[in-house]
Amino acid sequence: MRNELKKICTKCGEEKPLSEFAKQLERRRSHCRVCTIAANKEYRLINKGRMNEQQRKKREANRFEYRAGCKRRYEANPEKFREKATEYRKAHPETKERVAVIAAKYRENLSAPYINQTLMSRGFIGEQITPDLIAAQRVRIKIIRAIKEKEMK
Amino acid sequence: MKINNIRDLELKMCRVLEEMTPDEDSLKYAREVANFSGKLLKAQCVSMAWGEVSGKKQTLPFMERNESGE
Repeated sequence: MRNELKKICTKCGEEKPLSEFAKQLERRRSHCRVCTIAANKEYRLINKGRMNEQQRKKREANRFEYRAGCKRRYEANPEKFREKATEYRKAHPETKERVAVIAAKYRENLSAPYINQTLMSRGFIGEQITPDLIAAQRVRIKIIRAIKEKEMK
Repeated sequence: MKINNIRDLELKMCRVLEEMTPDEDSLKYAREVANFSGKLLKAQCVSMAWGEVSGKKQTLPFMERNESGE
């Protein structure tokens, strides 16, 4: 039987097979996989707010790529996503009201997500929606609303 | 006022919005501008016929009213 190489983890102090230590360039890490996973988990817990903010900024900076990735994953397995969404709605019935409140706020303030939605419903796709287009559409909606308001009087 | 791009269109619409009054003519004009602007936006964004549509535009709502000096 082959004698497997072992190494002592500098974190937990246990002697473990070399395969329990992740590779780092030409050598192995000092902490075993179990300790690394636990440390990462702890770090995420402590820095949750900061990491979420970083992720949000990254998503916003690369929103077209991010959305394309979401779409690709959804199209590869739509049933799975639908099931997950149904389960989530069942488990969190308050979501519907919460989403409706947010949507109403966006609609009221003519926020970018609402303008995006109106443009997409007119057949625009992500790359075509530029800040200039959003601004113009916002003014257009303001005109339409003003007309309705004045007609009501 | 010539409309060469989306920014011009936005400025034009802003003016229409500011000058809007409750009278019938003004509302009719604003409605035409809103409808036609939708077509212009669409035409530009499918990267076709911006020239064509903005050319036609010159005889459509934006030019129908007396806008001398623009």
